[in-house]
Amino acid sequence: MFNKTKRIFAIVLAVALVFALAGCKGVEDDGSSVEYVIEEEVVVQGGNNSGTTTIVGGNDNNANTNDGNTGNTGNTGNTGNTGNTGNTGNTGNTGNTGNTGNTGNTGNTGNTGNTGNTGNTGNTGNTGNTDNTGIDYEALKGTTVKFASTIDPKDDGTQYVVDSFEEKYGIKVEIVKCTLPGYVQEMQGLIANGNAPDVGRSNGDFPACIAYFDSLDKSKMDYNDPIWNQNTFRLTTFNGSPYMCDTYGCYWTELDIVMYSKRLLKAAGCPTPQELDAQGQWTWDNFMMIAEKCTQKMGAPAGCINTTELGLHMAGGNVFKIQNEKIVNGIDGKTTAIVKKFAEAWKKGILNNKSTVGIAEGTTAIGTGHAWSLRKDGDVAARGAQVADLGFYYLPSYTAGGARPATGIFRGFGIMRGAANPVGGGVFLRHYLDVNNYDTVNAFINEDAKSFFFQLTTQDYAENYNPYLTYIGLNQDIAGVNYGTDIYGVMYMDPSAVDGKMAAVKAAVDKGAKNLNDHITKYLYSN
Amino acid sequence: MSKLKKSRGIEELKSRYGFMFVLPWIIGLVMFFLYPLIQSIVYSFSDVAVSPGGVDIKFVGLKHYIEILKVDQNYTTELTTSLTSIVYSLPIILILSLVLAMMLNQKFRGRIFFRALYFLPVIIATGQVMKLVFETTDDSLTEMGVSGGMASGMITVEDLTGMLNMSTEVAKFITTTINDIFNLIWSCGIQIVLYLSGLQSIPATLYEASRVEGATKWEEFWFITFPMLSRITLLVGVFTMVELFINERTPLVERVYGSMLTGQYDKPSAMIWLYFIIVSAIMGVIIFLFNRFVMKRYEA
Amino acid sequence: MNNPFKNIKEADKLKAIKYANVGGSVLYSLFRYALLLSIGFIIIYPLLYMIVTSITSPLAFLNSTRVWIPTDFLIKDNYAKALQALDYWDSLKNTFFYPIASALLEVCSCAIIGYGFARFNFKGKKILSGILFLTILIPEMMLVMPRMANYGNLDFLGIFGGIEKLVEWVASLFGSDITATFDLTPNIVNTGWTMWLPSFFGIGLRSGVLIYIYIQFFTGLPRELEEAAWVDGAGPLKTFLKIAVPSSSVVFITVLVFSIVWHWNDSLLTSIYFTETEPLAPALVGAKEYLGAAWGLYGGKGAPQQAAVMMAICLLFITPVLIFYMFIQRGFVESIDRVGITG
Repeated sequence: MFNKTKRIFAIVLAVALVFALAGCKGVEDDGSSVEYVIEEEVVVQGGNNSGTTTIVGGNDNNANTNDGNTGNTGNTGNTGNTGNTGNTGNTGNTGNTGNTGNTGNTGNTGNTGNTGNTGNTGNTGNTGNTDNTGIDYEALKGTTVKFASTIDPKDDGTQYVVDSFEEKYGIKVEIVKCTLPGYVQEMQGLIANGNAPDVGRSNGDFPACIAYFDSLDKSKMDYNDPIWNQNTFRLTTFNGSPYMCDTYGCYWTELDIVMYSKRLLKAAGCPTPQELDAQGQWTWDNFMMIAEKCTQKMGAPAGCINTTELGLHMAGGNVFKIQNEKIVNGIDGKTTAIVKKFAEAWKKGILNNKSTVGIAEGTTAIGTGHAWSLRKDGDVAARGAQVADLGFYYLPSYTAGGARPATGIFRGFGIMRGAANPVGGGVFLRHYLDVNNYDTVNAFINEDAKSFFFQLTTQDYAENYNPYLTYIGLNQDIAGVNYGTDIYGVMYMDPSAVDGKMAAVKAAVDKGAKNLNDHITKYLYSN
Repeated sequence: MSKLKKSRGIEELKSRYGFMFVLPWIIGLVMFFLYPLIQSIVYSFSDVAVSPGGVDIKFVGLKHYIEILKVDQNYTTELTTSLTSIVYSLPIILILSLVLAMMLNQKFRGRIFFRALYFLPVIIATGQVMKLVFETTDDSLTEMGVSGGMASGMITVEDLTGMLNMSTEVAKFITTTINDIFNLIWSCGIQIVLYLSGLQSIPATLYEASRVEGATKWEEFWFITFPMLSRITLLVGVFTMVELFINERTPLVERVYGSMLTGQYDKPSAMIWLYFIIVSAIMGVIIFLFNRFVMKRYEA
Repeated sequence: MNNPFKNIKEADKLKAIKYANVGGSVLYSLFRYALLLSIGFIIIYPLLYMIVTSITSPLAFLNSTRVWIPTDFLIKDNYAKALQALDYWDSLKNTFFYPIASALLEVCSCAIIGYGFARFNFKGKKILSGILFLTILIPEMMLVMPRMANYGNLDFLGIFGGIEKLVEWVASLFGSDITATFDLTPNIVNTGWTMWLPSFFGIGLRSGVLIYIYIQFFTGLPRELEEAAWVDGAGPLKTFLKIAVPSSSVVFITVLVFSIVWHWNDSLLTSIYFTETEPLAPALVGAKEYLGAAWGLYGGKGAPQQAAVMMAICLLFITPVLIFYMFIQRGFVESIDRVGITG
């Protein structure tokens, strides 16, 4: 009897094992045949000023002290900025000499920020003199501001700015350590038990950040201060007050650009974007034309949109759009046409998916990058690109003579809910985000890059500014939609199949927009 | 009669002592477990927003449950995928770790080294390290559509298609299977240790007696090893099921964790509570069957 | 009834003894080595990969003919960067002080609780066993938010808060204000108490599993010694400490290893509970960002040094636990062999 049951048991076990092994395949099925990867690489700003900078006037940046400020007349509290003759009252950014050129920038209407930079007369708050905020700075002396940052300023080279803040206002800065993937939860945990930090940063997760940001009114900051980026205020205003802030020309501001290899374009006989723009012909169709020509010449896909998913936005398309304090479905006819164009480009094989790595390697002839790619520590130069070969320009417009898209990662800073010292936090932000407090002498890959950066990031783009909310997918779980497969996947399909899929894409975007709005409503309007 | 009283007294005394032993646990339960647990259940029935000084709860009843079952098109498929993956992986892991533990239990040269080696996955894989290693080895694989994994470093799809002239489909299948085998072996670490300690606690006299009697290895296993291991097998089985259940790589759990990391507590709580109920039902059935048919027969 | 032990020839019996002692024929031991080594290779492959990658220099990466032995080394710089990215010595100190200390607490408290479950029958034991099962099942992530909300004002069933209010009211009657100094519901965020307290009470990281392991083990211990101690008049605690614990070195070491490994690798709880000083696990999570921010090291084919430093970071992270395991598993094997003989 034992033998029989034992044998049956053994047979059953063996069969189960066979089935289980056969079922192995299904265990880790990811459910999709192509992985649509939204670039997971975190674009982190940081300018490390150690060891490589050479400053005229012999001021050593590493020392981060106030002495040695030769030539810095009237530059109290500022470190390492030499040669600022003529910039009286200016906190001495040699980079600002580039900014003076901004007043001469045709087409940059509404450069309110720039008038603040040139001549630096409007730099209220920088010297702590006249400002319209009515903040009692004396009362703030001796208080603490808690800054919830995923990177300690000591590590990304911005500690000297924090030091100058502490010295100037007598307010101590405390860094609250947190990690990027769990940022929202960590912040909420601290808020819930009464240990909320004062200031925090949203690294592209809007509107998830509404969960931890409070209205900026609490900080009593002057919204009309020319340093503040009105684009950000405009898009994050709910109930009449903004929730996120950013400054013109700030270290962390993000706007996307086009980068190209001068050598490769020349070899293929293509005009550069600048030349095309001079004739008013810098359009996306021409971008694709250049990519195609270079592909033919090089024998490998030579164009790159960083990445294709984000390329949808860079071409002027929209997925989510912020309009009238709500997130709406931004897909329109133009977006569908752009999707089709990308699908065709993929079919033709003129695009690769290497993102900025290809530009750094020199295997991508023309591609897109970020404003941050213009820096020495940015994702292009730090990967060993041949700087002399790099060219960069604005994103092309969709139609000849149309407005250029202004898009990028939607970043900003803000005051935390339940902050103990919101006013001090506002003062800190005003100081920490002021590009005048930074040394930008050697932060960029070359002089052209620096002036281009300031041209790019110190404009008021008004309705043209449409940052993408789907970067990294930090708010993907709130939207309840898989950005890769449900939305952007359609860009990789055969162009003839695009129209059929668009209905599903629109439905997904509608659902995502609804969930995101619910999230905002939950935190803002049900108090 | 006095004897009766005494034994009852001892029983009562013993039960009071026992209670005192677990009293700290009960206190801890209330403070750190039951209270948050009930709150988590409440979250699944309400809209949750975190505000300074606490968590705002707005009771909405079954709204989230209905939503995930009807509206959310991914939930039911994710649920079935996760559950079937548990059912697939459980027997393999149990059998594999038992076989490996038995092998490691024997006396051969280098067994200490091997025992140390097989616990290595536990040390490395329970944290973020594996994820980081995967990310650096995973180069061009995502383009080919094969999800990343350690197998990508050992055998790549290109090697298979290039060297052996296999079609991409077959190559993908082989790579995913190797990936799965890899993942399974990496999940066996703790089970091997538990089985090892279980095997060690079987008195050697039993084996000696059976050898004297002339039992074959097969009989030795079924009549000595397996019955003596029944309690350990239950432990390992429960443990493996729980590990599989809350394994972060299952799509459902990944989604829930991702939502919680970005500040959503209401819907994910509903998702995971439903998952719990189903999994605990399944586990309860398996444990009941195991107790009934195996433990009763081989009561050690 | 079939007796499987009869009809065995003498020679076969001797053969069986010989096989049993040697552990199998040559063929079998070859097979065993082959299987163990091949599976072992799968296991050790990532570790080897980590070691090799962490010592290569960027130049060697570009040389695609290299597979295992790098042509160029850059050990010092990679590891120096790795040490800095993790803030190693500080993080290590924090790791020992917070998670590891609570691991040790957990090992002890779970033993006591497991013994209570295993050896005694008390009222409500069935219910509590069910709750124990629940503790095993429920992952930490689900309870993090409610716990964090409570940690600002740690309270027990509202009793402490009630007492505090009562005392304040009484004090206000006398006109004195002692609210500032008298705080029965402390804010324990950022202190070690967030981890020590739950572990002390047996609700630490994965404590349910450990209690379950203890229960299974203690139930399997022979009762004779303990009964003898009872008769001799030893109380339960003494019995536990003097009889059960010394016989349980195996399970103690097992549980210790598990607990330490889990606590060491735990990045979820430590990143939420600690915002000022970080143990090692959250530092690991933030290391990638650190590399980008501090030295501009990004991944991808263009800058392979990131891979090298990341692997160095991973190695630094797992090395202390590996060393710990190497030392302790020797004791593991020895005590295993000893225990097997009794009974």
